[in-house]
Amino acid sequence: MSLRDKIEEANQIAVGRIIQSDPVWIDIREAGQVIDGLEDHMILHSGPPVPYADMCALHRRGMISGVLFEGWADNPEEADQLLSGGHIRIESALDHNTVGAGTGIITKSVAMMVVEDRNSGKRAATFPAEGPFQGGFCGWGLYTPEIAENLRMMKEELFPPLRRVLERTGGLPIKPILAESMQMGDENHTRQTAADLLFTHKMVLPILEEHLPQDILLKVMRYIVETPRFFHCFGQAAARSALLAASNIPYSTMVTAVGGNALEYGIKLSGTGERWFTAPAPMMKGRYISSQYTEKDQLPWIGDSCVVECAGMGGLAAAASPIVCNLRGMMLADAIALTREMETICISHNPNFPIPNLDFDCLPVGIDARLVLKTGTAPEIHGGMFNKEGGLIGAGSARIPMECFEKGLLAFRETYAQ
Amino acid sequence: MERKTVQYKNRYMDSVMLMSVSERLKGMDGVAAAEVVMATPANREILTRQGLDVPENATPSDLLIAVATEGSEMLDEAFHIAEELLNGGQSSHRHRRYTSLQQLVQAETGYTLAQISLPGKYAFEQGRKALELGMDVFMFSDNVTLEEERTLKELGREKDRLVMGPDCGVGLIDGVALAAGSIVAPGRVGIVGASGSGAQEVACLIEACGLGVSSLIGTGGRDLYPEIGGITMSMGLSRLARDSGTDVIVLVSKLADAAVMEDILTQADAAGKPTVAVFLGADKALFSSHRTIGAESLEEAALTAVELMTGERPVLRPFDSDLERIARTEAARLTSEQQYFRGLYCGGTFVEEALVWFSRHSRIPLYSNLQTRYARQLEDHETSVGNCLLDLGAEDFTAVTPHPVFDPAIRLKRFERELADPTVALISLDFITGPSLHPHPADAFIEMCRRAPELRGNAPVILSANICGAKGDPQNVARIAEDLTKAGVILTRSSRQSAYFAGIVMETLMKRGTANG
Amino acid sequence: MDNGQHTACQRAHGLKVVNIGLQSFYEALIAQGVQAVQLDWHPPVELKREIADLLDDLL
Repeated sequence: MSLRDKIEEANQIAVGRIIQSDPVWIDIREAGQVIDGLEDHMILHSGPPVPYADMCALHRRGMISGVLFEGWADNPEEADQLLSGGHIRIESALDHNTVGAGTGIITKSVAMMVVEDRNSGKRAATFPAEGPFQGGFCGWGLYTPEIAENLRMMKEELFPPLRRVLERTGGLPIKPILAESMQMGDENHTRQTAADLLFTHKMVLPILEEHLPQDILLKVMRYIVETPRFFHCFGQAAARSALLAASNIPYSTMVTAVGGNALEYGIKLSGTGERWFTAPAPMMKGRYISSQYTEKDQLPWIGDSCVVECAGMGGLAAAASPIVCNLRGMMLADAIALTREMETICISHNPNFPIPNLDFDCLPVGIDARLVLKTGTAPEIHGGMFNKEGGLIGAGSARIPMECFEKGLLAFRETYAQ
Repeated sequence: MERKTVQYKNRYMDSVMLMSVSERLKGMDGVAAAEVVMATPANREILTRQGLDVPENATPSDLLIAVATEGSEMLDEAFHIAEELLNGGQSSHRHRRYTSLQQLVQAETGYTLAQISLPGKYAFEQGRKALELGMDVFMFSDNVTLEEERTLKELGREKDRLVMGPDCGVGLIDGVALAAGSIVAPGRVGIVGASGSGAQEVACLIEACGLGVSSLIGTGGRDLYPEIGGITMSMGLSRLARDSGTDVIVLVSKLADAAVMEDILTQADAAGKPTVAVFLGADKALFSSHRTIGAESLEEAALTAVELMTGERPVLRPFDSDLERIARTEAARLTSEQQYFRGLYCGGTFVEEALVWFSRHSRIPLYSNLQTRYARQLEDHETSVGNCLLDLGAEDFTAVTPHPVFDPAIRLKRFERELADPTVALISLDFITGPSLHPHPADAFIEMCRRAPELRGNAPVILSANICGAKGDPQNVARIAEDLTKAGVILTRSSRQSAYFAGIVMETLMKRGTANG
Repeated sequence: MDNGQHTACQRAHGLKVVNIGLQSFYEALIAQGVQAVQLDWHPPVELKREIADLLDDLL
């Protein structure tokens, strides 16, 4: 078999792992219990590995928050000393079975949503939405008494009842929600409104059947119903668990992880295992929430949330969600064109996602690094635009740097060429 | 006559869609009348007047499709098409974007022509693909190599498909104006032209004489080069010879390779239809052994074609004699300071025509930005010297800016400079219209004319222009003529007449002893 | 719309055109009532030597 044939075969296997994945929400556990390799005095962050000294302000702040949250130091100055002194292990969230949305600050004591891909047995954990604190600890690396209290409340009051529901019902299948929401205007990265509703619809009765005290019931329902983008972490976990199953397939050139840390953007390819291929992080172009903000206020890409793009959702699913595109000044035809463009760099189509706006053609899935280079088309990534102080200043999109794919394939050839 | 009206209750269609569906139906063979309208009182009137049925209960929020045809089969066909259009049979395709010809033909059928205006280095590939897929090719792009042109034309000949271009600016196929062409009235004179603006003027003059054009097949500027051998002119000639809708054929070109011209004329002899040819600058002797009638100018070609059709020499105004009178009168107003003639043309063929005309009828030395036997080449194309004929559509200018028929800015700037030069006696312009050209080609120039006194310090000047355009063009040719006249610009009926007029002016000045070379 | 334009539109447009290049040419066809499509053409990607070689091996 030629190298080309081996690659084609491996890519079919890899993309098959995504298509056949069957993600189920099975548990809520402390990060230290469910994330492989996450130990004491260790903090995870978004994007490729970066030492504390080099981190952007947002990540540094997040690191300090992590230390304080775990009680490894009593104040920011001490925390900074600990970190600068190398006493805290710092690693990429994407080097573990989790995802770092935004700053991606994850430590062992934080409660995480656990999704298992029943097809492969792989589990991924993601940080749940923090209720009223959009971003909060994990997303924006903030730590205040209010945030701390909220995290405690979630872990100790909201999650136990939800855990019991999961135990009793055997878990909540995520795929049916994703599939249906894709036909209802979601792309499941920046927009998951329908998925939120479908989730709530499926959880209401099981929760009521727990016969919780009224005040707890209200708290739990309030959390689910009032938290914006509540479902986001489940889409992420579903994508991540499938991509873990699709990782480390020899000869595959499929992209299995992507993320940025404001300095660098990195990708991983299935056939080259856990190696990162990095380039300077791109700047997003989009709309600012206020005219006072311009590009000079803006931080380059930070966050791992584009793991969903690797699993065939988000930007690749633009045709399913013209509203998201319209917010960026694009029309339906443009949204469709975007998905059609992504078709040219993907290995296959996902039969689970037929899309009305495409005349029921299915969404493309499985980004092939070779096709990216050949067509000169890099995946488009959607996300929030942050300023250097950590505030959200807008939403926009960027393209993953071509350099990442070049490096990846050069390394791939080195590994596999006879 | 069969008629039928179908009513769609509470069905709204926007006016652009209504018009386009209407147009489609009206254009079908055998359809005598077709209206696709919302049933407003005014529209009900229109239907009734045409003898079409109007349902009693139709309200302004209902859509009516009313058709009258020559047979019931045609009626069914018309409604079938109408329904398809109404139900968005086309709409999903309207949204669909194709990134390659392959993609396009896989999804949709019936594409008969590829109109290519990509940068030169990409044009060949698309042209080849289009030919492989069975389409005719119209190529506006220039900077395509001679070798590529030959390859395309040979491939086209193999497949009996036309390759119109590269560097082809004008076409009229099946009543559709292509690229920079004009929407000329339909008729029975067919034109094949290697010179874009030349063929366009011939077509527009034929229309001005009250007739029309069946097809205008552009060949591109190098078709008659020996390396190409006139492949497209030959195929175009052949198509028109076989076309039952064409009675007279006109061939238009600059002077070309002798052997190729000879070959073309021999083919024209066998066409079986009266043929007129203008090879600008050619010797009359070229035609002596051929049936094709030779014309010395674009205008003469058009007038001869009309005469062949009607049996009568057409009369166009203004007459040469009128212009002679005006030329002498105007020239007399000039002082000894005004000495030079400047022609600022968009149409390359108009420059050619002027150069040829002057070389034949006048002794004044000429300059041009072009490399031509008829004039000295300007050292700097941005600076006019002496009597100067400028082709502002030439590479000198268009390498960095759009062609002046699309964007008048560069020519306007040049016009201003010439106007501000008190040694200039006469400035001659051309204005070309067409659906893809600048919507108001003359406005800025007319504004500039008004500033002449201020620019020239009251030194007199003569301004002349010819308009090359069809009544069907969106630019309103009649209005342009009116506005130019009001601004003091002397209108000629053709590029030949512009040259003639300029000739008289310069002759008058020379006689006065004040015109220099 | 001017006088003659209406007449022109009434002609049978059996022609079906794919326009590759200038948007204005496409619009002129539509304005004449022609069945036309604008190809969403993009220039082919110019690959670095090294990358072109790489793809020759892998793709």
